Amino acid sequence: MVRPRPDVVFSEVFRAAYPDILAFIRRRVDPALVEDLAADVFTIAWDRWEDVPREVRPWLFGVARNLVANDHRTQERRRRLELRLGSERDPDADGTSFNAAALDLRLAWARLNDTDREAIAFVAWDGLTGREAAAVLGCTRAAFSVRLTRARRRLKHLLGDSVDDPVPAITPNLTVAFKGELP
Amino acid sequence: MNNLMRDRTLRRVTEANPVPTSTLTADESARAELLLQDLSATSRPARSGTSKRWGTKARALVGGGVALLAAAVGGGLLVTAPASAEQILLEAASNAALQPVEEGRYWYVRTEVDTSVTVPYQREIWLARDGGVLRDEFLAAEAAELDGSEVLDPALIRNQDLGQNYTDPEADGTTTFGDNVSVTWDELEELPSDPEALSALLTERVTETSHGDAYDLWDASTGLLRESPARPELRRGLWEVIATIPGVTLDGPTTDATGRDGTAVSIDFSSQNLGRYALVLDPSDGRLLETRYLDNDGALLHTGTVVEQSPRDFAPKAQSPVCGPGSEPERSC
Repeated sequence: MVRPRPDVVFSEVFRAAYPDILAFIRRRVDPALVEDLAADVFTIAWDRWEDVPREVRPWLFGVARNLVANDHRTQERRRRLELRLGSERDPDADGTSFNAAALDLRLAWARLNDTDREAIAFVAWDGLTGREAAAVLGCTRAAFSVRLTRARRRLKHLLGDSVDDPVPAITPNLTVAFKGELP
Repeated sequence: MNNLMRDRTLRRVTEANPVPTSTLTADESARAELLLQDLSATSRPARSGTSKRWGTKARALVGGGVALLAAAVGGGLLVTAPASAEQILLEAASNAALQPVEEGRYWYVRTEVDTSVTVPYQREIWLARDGGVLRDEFLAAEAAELDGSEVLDPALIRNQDLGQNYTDPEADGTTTFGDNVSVTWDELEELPSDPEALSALLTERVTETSHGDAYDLWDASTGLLRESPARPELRRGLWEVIATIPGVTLDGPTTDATGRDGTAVSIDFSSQNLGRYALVLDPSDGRLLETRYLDNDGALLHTGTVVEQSPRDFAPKAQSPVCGPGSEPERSC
């Protein structure tokens, strides 16, 4: 009854997807941890190779996303501990950030909530199609479209691009941790 | 250009990508190859056995539900006692098993979709064992939304060859059903209808989403009910599995987007920021009428109304993709 996986060669998938996964992680975590987390992604893929779905690429992004979220939780706990201890650290040391964007975009991005940022980043930075992003999140293509469109509208409104669009409520949240998601 | 990248806001974000994906440096390549060698030199762990996470509960709840129904019918309680989600789902299960067995080369499903962010559109699918045809107006609806229009561009609506675009080429174009649980037509026919065995198998087979067992099982079960040629006995099993999922509640009588009377049940994942999912079903014949998705605040975001679901012997001829043969409209055009 168990479906045998197609004879996909792990090494081919590894070589094709590794640069994308590395970049995905690099956008979101401390540079010193990037390659370690990428190695974790592919170690999990190797261990579970017989169980991975036929569309491997979004599944790999999903694993990477979970590992990044775990890292953010760890970093947040550490940050709170350091704050209690009175130590200082660079507030921009982790999380997704723009490197060379205009100030209005940086400010608007900072005012988006985590859910909106994630939807936009999947498409605009990670190069995922709507169908792939939906697979990463474990939701339907249409549900992801709803999520992306709402996020885009909020960002557009924050940028002042349009005053005509209906604007859903914005949840001010300056953290970048992957705390949750819409399906 | 990606269809979504026609949007100026998204283009600005893309241009500000803090880490554009690029080829690996020599050092990165060397380290990646070392990692690959290390992994390849390691044997994989043995597969885990079939999960029993839901099995015992499934048996107890379904057994209890059947007994409850029998007692209720015998004692005339159905008239006065308030129904529960389990009762409604088990009633639907019993009646789903009585649906006629229908056969055809294709399984045809027509769904009317309404979202909070696009104009309403239609999705038709003809699924065969080896591919099929999809006529989905979604891309046109999305493009219309981006353009601020309420009119779908017919040029963006194609009969898409599923064998070419939606299946794994290394799986010989085999069609799969159930979204994250991804079973072939042959496997669908072999799925057990016993709710305990079915629940365990779906739990084992589903691609975990990290949203938890309840979410994964709900997703797998509703996916198979929504768009697969599941036989009547399997539909009974799927409704019984849904009845076992913790947190499923009865929302009560409702009508779907086409005006059909039904009963809504739902499950709330808002504590995980996942919103709420609802099903509208007709307990009298076990049909799934509509799926609904609501955000954490209860606002209705997405409705998929299953207008028709039946076998067909013929499907329309597939057309070349909007952006030409071999292209992926979502990725480039």
